[in-house]
Amino acid sequence: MASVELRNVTKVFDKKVTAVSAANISIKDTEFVVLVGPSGCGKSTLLRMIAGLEDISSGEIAIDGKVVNQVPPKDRDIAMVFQNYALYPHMTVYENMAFGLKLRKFSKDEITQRVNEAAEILDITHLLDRKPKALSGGQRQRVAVGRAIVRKPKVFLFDEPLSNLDAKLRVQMRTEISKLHTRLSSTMIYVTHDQVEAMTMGERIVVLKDGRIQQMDTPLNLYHYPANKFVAGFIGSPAMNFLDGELVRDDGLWFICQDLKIKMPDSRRQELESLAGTRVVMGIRPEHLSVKNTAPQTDGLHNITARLEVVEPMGNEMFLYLKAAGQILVARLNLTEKPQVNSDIAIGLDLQKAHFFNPQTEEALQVYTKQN
Amino acid sequence: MRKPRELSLAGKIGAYCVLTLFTIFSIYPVLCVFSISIRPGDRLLTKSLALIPQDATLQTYVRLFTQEPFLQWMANSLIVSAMVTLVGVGLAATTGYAFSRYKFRGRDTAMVGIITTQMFPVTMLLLPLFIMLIKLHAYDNYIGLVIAYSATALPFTVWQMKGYYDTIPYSLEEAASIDGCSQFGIFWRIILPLAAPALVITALFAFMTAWSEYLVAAVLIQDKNLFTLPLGLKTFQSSMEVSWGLYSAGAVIVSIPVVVLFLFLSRWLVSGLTLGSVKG
Repeated sequence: MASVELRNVTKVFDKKVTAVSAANISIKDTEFVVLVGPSGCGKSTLLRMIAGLEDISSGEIAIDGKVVNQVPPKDRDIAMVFQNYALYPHMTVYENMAFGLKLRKFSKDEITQRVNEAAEILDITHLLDRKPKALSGGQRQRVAVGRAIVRKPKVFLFDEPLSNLDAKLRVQMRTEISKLHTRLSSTMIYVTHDQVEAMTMGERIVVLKDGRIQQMDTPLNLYHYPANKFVAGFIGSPAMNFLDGELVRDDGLWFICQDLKIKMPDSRRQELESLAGTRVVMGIRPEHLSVKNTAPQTDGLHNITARLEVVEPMGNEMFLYLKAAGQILVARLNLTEKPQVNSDIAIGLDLQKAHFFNPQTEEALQVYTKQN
Repeated sequence: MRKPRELSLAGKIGAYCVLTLFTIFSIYPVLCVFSISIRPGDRLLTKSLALIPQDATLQTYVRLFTQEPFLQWMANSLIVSAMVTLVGVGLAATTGYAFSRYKFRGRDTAMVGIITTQMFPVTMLLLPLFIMLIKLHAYDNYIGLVIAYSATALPFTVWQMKGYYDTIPYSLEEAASIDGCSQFGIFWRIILPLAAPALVITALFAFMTAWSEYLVAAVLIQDKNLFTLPLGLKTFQSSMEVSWGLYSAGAVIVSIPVVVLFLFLSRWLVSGLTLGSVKG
């Protein structure tokens, strides 16, 4: 097992397109780190550079303390699971898993022992004689994982391994990969565009956008203390609500957004005081919205009237799509009855939990960021 | 997979009629040649419709193998065709791979250039080829024929191999390189086995290019001991008469290796060999 260090890693394609820009990531030994971001954010390129499948334009990548910029993939002692499985179709499952070991001149007994051990962990022992085409999507993905674990590499790399599976199988494989990490206690780097996967699996998450690292932290810190508007909107489902407005001092501190006038609670007044007179973006998560009388009346709760446009009942909760001050707000509520659509309802905003962002830079304003 | 469409009874009858017609259309000339080959004497035409005449005999076949240097011609053809197949498959497999996987200056121009050579009829290339081979001291020997035939077969086969490699997912090569394969190892252990159907087509094409060719061989080969089958068969035709019996018997025998080769190689012609490797 090993640590992985990325120092100012940059990737420029064809001297024009910058896919990754000065990435600095330090991954500890046995850590499970997830790289997450929308399509084209550079997460897969970053992973492929760690694997050695892409050259690095500048910067350094070190595995286990050794710089590997010039080391070919086969000598980096890594294993990778691809999104499209990439199983060798002319080989059986056993041969697929044994291929890497054979090339590394392991003894026959050792190969058999390792393949059987991995097959048992992944519950694919009965499939060892089959060719990939005779397997289901889930089974193929298990074989791909098996091919990686038999090698016992220093670092495991996963490139959106669950994207091609159906929703149910995805949840199942998600927990299995997490269990595998605990069992093998190895360093794992996992790429996904699915923030739920990132939140549930990662010990630390690296959020990327346009080739730049936006924030790197634990799942809960990312959720509670997003560094900028992008992270705040990307992490969490449904996404955080954003209101563009201005903080105004007038017998207290008010957040003004078109015809909405929201009074900031006294408890947050001190930290927000310095922002008075400036334009800000207020962010509030769907679960911090409540229908009047369903939440305790606390200091931070401010009621507004909004028009209910759509209701999505999820069973255990409901998503309410509301319109207020020309903006769409999503509320995540625990209601027993479906409220009337196209009616005006009173919505409480828990301002204690509100985030504020600079409308130009989109950086979180220091008032609510985590104090390290 | 999509279920094949069920045909109605009338549709089935129609389909079988059409298929039978085309089968007869393609098999009849072969049967005719076979029929001529087992007629005694050199009877090209007959009033009988019987494919196997009543006085059928294998005498012409016996004559072909005992009184004519047919085995020598066959050996010559086999040697030349086998060499062309080896050279053709070897070069097309590697060149096609380079065109498919590597980006280099002039790649597209080279691809177009290669296929452009296919546009010239072989009669036009004969003279330059002839001059070149004389200068290379490859005139009137196997090497000259192998060079000429390989040059004829390669443009098509290179394109064909390139096209097939393009369909093999790149991630398989990446997986193999992480598993510990060298660049050549990837080509040898992963790509070539997967390209088997294309290699088979290439091999068949190269073999047949050499096996049935007459014109180039007639120009490049003068030594009777080096005659290939088409050249040999032509000797049965003199200015005064044609030995139709020998001619047709020879034609039947000539077609056998190609059929055998096709039957042997057809099991590799499995479409969708890469099925299941990656999620499509």
